[in-house]
Amino acid sequence: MKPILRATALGRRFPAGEGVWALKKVDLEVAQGEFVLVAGPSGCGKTTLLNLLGGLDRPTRGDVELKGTAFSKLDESGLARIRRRELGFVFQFFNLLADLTAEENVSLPMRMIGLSKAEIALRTASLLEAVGMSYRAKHTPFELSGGEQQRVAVARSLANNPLIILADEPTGNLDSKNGLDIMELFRRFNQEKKQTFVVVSHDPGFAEYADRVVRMHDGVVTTIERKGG
Amino acid sequence: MVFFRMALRNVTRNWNRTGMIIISMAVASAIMTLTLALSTGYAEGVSRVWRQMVGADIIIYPNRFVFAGSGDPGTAWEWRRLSPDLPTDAVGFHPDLAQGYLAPADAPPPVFDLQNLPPALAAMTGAGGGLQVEAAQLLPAYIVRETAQGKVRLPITLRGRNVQADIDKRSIPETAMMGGSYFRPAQDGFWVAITNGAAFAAEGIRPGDKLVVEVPTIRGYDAEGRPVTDYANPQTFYFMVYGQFGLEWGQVRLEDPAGLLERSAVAPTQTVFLDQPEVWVPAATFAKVFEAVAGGPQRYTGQLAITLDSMAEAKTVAQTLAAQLPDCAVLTVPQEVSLSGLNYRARLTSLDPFTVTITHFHYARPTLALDVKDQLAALAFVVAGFLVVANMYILVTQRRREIGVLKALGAASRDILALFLTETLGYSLAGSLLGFLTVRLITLASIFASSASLVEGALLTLQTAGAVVGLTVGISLVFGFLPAWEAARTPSASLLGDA
Repeated sequence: MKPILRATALGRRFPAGEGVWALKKVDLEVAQGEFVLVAGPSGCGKTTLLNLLGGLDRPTRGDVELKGTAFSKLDESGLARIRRRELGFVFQFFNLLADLTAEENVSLPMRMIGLSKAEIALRTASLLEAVGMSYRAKHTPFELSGGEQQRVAVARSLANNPLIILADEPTGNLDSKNGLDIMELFRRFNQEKKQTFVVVSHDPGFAEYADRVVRMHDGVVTTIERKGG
Repeated sequence: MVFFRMALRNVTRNWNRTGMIIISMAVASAIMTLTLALSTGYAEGVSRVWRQMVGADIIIYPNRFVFAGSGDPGTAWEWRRLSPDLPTDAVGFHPDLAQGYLAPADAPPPVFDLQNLPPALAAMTGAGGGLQVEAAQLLPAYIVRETAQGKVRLPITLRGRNVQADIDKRSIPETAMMGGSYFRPAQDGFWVAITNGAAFAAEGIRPGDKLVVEVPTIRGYDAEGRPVTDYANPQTFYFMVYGQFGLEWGQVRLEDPAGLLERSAVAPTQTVFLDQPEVWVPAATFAKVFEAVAGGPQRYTGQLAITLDSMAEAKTVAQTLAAQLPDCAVLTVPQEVSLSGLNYRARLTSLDPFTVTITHFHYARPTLALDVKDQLAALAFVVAGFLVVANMYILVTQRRREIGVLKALGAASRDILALFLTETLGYSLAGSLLGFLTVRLITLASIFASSASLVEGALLTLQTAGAVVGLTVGISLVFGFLPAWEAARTPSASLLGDA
């Protein structure tokens, strides 16, 4: 299957002290509809990789291509446009905007791309329904539990029908039941909507949800395991 | 538009944050408003002392004055010693006192005829005008002292004070400079006096002393209204020294390149006039003395004074009078305060070749206010500015995670700037208006209560509003922009990681 996301010789060095290569040299391809789990111990470079794949950070070397568009060729506003239209993010700490209600958080990406009010209302209701949060639509994040906040964050990440959803430790701040619920949600969107996911987690139990498990250590990919083989 | 609307929603949703920021902004703009008021309106200490000294808010002199008027005082004004040929006024009065005053070289020596005031003044003080004009109450006199060396006659100026006006308008009883000793209204017409403590210290005149005062007779007035004073035939009056005052003001240094001063009796440094020997008596007491020595009420004066309730009103009246009385020097108290802060050069014509330079001005309140007013204003502005800067810095830096999230969702740098600058604009506008209005409404109430010109009051208010709101908003936008710009250019990963 033709990849929609490709990382080539990706490296990221942080300038602390004499410089630390958080990511040394990673090559990775993600195909349409694939569910990729990036696993490994803390500090192995998983989050750095995800940030580079999502254009949240610039690599020291190498490049990322999304549907043939190299990130290195884009300026800040070009990257912002990619993030707005083609990517969805789910974070460990949810990162909902505190002053907005659940439905306003979900509708924000749609308002950024200028959808009509009617369409925004329809899609927001549909997404909240899909993640089981319709009954909390008017609540602010402070009034939601961690699991509920993450459900809203998932709905927000899906708002603009992105090509890929990048999730960084989405269950890291949840109890095991809520963690499983979120992973089930991902699997459902992956299987029913053919939504592509790249999920970072250090929890080995989530390997069963993924089509591929990319294992990392010390800034490099050590193994890539495919489901069923 | 999304981010503009989001900014407005942020301002109206998070009332804890909004309230704190707006209150801080309001405090900053209130400080600025008060500081501007200090600069443009009456400075409390200055006006109090100067009102004591000159006795009014507007002083009208017939084109001669101790301070410079318009034009270049260095060339157009002269230092004149008093002589019996010159009329009396508030500045330098007594022919036997070695005092002088600054005046234009070609200044005529007219006086005001209280029964025939210039038309412009008459209109203002008539039934339609309603202004109360007071003549300076001044007479040359002598204190007679019996000493071991025999009878000594000390030349003095006898000055009448309107006790009730001083208490009502000039806050005299409260000032430390008066030493807490001033007339009571009930003493008006009684034979009590207060003396310039500094001037009479060497003479040992103290409260409780009996004062013997000789006042020369006024035989009449010449064609120009100048008094014809008979110094040889004084009348004697007895006063009880009730208290002392001190109104020392400034000094004159005589530059003496030829070293001539050493052979003269002139001290190289002289106090200009406020420690000259003055004895103050209540206005009704002065009127009794005047009637006794002149055979009738006072008709002529070299100085008229108008006391008003507000700076705005004083400015309007002074401008009108100055336009209509071109031969007169019309000054308001703040103008005098302002002028007195300058150094003037003048020729000492009667003691050539000495050059007189008024070098500095001193004494407690006026000097304090004059010297530090600008620094105080600048400091207050800096403090207020830092309050605004700190607010903006905290507003933006505490929301770096939010900026990171917005960038992750696809917001561009300009969107982040639009969001934060709109919020900043909202906060600073609301805060500065709140602070300004809170302070200014009190001022407006006093301006309107004093029947000042509404237009003048409104203009002053608009000027101050423009400065305060403009500055607060300007500083806010600059110091909201800088951290927002920095954050907007920082990669989302860093913002989310930092926060």
